[in-house]
Amino acid sequence: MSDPLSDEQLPDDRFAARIQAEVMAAAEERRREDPKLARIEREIERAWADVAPPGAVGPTEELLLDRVDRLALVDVDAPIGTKPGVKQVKGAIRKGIYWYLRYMSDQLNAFHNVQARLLRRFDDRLSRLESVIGVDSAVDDLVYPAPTAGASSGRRLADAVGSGRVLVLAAGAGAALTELDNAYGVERDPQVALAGIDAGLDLRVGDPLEHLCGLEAGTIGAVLIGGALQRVSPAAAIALVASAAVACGPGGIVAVAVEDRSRRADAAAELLGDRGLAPTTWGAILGGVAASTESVKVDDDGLEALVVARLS
Amino acid sequence: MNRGVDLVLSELHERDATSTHARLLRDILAADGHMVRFVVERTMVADEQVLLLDRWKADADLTILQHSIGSLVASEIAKRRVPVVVNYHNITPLEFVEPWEPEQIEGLRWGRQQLWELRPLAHAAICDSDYNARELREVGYEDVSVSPVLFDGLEREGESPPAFAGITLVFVGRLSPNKCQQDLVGVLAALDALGIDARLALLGGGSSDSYRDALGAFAARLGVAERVVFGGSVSERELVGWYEAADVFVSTSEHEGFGVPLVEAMAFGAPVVAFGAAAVPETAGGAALVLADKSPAVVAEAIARVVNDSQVRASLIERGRARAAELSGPQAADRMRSVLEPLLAGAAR
Repeated sequence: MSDPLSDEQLPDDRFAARIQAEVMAAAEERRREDPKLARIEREIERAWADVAPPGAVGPTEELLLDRVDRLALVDVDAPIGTKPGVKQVKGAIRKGIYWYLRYMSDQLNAFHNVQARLLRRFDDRLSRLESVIGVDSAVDDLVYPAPTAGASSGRRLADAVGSGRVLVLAAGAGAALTELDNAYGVERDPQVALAGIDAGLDLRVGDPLEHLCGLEAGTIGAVLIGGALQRVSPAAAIALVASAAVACGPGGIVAVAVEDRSRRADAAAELLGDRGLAPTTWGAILGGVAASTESVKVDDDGLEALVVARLS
Repeated sequence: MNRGVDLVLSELHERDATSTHARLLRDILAADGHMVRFVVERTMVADEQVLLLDRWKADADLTILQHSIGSLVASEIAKRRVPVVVNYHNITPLEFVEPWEPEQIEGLRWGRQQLWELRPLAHAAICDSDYNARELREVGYEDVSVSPVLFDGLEREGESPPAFAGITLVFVGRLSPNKCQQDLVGVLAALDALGIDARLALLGGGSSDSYRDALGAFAARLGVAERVVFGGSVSERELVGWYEAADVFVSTSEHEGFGVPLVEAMAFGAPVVAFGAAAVPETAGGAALVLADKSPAVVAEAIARVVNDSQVRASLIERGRARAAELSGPQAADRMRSVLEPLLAGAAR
């Protein structure tokens, strides 16, 4: 491993990644320490939702659903009360609204109300499904962090990989990167990533899945999956492997650093249950996209094996 | 061998980004001895080299279309089956515009439709960024090269903006929903919580009155309206003055096909903090503090870091200047030349 570099010596992308990780870690800490900041962020979001038109309130589903609820009601009470006009004329308008528009708006309101309720039901159902397939595995990770690929996994992968660029997903502090040439990692937790960045490793803070899905097809030589990502459900694992295979293209390598579930502490074993797959299961999933797969023992803390697949 | 080249674009304006790019492209081609003329639907400037679309015979050796929105010139190329090089500057995705200005989406939708129609005629394409190039490849374009958008260097004499005791944040770009200026207004409130007094200058004309009005109302609700400067379309001297006054150039835009103001800010020594969406990370090239998250607390923290950490600030400024030099002036012209060379060599006489 190379010596840590000073800011001035770091290449542009590594320098920016390091400062980004520090900034995100500092923001998280400030939010924890100062509840006022989190409250202000919510107020900002709400204030914008109040002035923006429907559909322009950003990606927050909850805000969009609030909007749907508010807009669902068609108000037929024409705003004529404060406008000048003859009393009898206003009365006639009100009667007209009552006899005709009211009839139509009641039907529309009923329709909108059903739509809004359906959207809420869909939202609830989607949340439940996401938790079942393991999208929320990062939450478990906060309590019982999944072991990440370490130096032993890195060495094993280095034996198999050619000259292409290697991407380590959920890389932790980047221990695997120390054994790999032309490699970089993506880690969700800025505090964890900072340790690796400070050690001079090419680590970026971000969502590993988003990063993987944003890669162009065939632009990576090998993808190493580790950390919380190897605790996903079988369905999510298949999708994950498929995405990694697209990023690698034919001849590339997809590897998974698999946790040894038998070495979990009692509390973790109980709370995490069956979460995570055995090396043989990963082998079977990888077999769906690979010409050959191999499971090799590794010495990294908490890991059972590295399953390596060479894509067909 | 010298070639005749038609540069086709919808409208030729004095200062807009596509017109400036087209003019500089013409200068590069003309300097290399090629005969260049503009073909336009309308022109807002007097230029002897402009040919209006209805008089165009499509007889040049090479036709290069500037494409960033639906246009009659693109339709004409498709109708007459003219072999073309598409110089793609990206089209704002509909979802940003639709909630605010539904009447504007037709032009955007038309522009995307024309990308499909032009594909069989496009023997090559030039994009401002890899991000734009990916879009074209997804549509099925095959020979796609990347060369940064060409833009004028700004004059060095700026007109100073009014003095301010706190820090000055600057963003340059149309007031447009895809640029997400509301996030910058929100950041002012978050900076207040950090004890940092800041003002925000939003420079650039508007493409949506309702969005502009909402930004004003939003700033008022957050109690920061007095510290938001809606500068509108400013003169070059005013623009330079703001760049020089900027403690940080900050962008939370979600859609940029390239991002010329980022590079201009770097050239003037303003450190850049930007949300890493669309082409922003590649334009920044590691010379800006690019964020994966643009929640107010994170952007405010980034600004505070750049303002308070002299080493980070100095490093960003130095890297920014180097990056700006790479993406502008002679280096950008050389890059464009290398992309054009094979196209000109293969152009039929």
